Amino acid sequence: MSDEANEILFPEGIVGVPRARRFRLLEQPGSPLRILDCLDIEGFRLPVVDPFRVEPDYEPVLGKRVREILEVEEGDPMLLLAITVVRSGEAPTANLRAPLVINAAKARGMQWILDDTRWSLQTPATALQTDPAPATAAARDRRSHARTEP
Amino acid sequence: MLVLSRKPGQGVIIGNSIRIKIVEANGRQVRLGIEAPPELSIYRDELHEAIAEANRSAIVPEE
Repeated sequence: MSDEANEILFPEGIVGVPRARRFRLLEQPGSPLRILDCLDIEGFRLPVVDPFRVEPDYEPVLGKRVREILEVEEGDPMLLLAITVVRSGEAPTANLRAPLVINAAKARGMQWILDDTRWSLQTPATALQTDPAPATAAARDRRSHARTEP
Repeated sequence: MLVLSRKPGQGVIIGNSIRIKIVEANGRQVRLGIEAPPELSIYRDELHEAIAEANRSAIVPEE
């Protein structure tokens, strides 16, 4: 397995941590969570989840800047991820207000802050607690298609 | 931090492409008008800080 090949560049870093630019996405067998592991800052590891798993009606509107920064071309597979806060003894929450958007074709990503106040920074992610095992693999393999403004 | 006094209707220009105008000042509240290139993101600073804090609080330790 080559880590370099899986490297995803976030040219602007993530919000509040601009020097966190290079990441790799690690699968966690048997879990709907994946780990976004920063290659620039040791120990900077963010659990992420498919946001549609948390909110099936999730409808993020991405701005034109996303296309520019991620160099999106027609047909590029886009991946959406929500950063998740997981603490023992507490219900997990997912940040649907500022999702991570990744252009899988170009291995470029960014955190996009939505204008839409319908989506919360701390959306309860109860679906992650009672996760039926058979659904996990399917959800992990599913690529989410983000919508961009025309 | 550069601090300037401005009156409603006045503004400042940053670089060649960003214009910030005081639209209205009413007691403790000020309304700003901002003209900037579309590639620049503009957020209320409390939202930006809340997201930065949420990012930091999500960090998990190495297994």
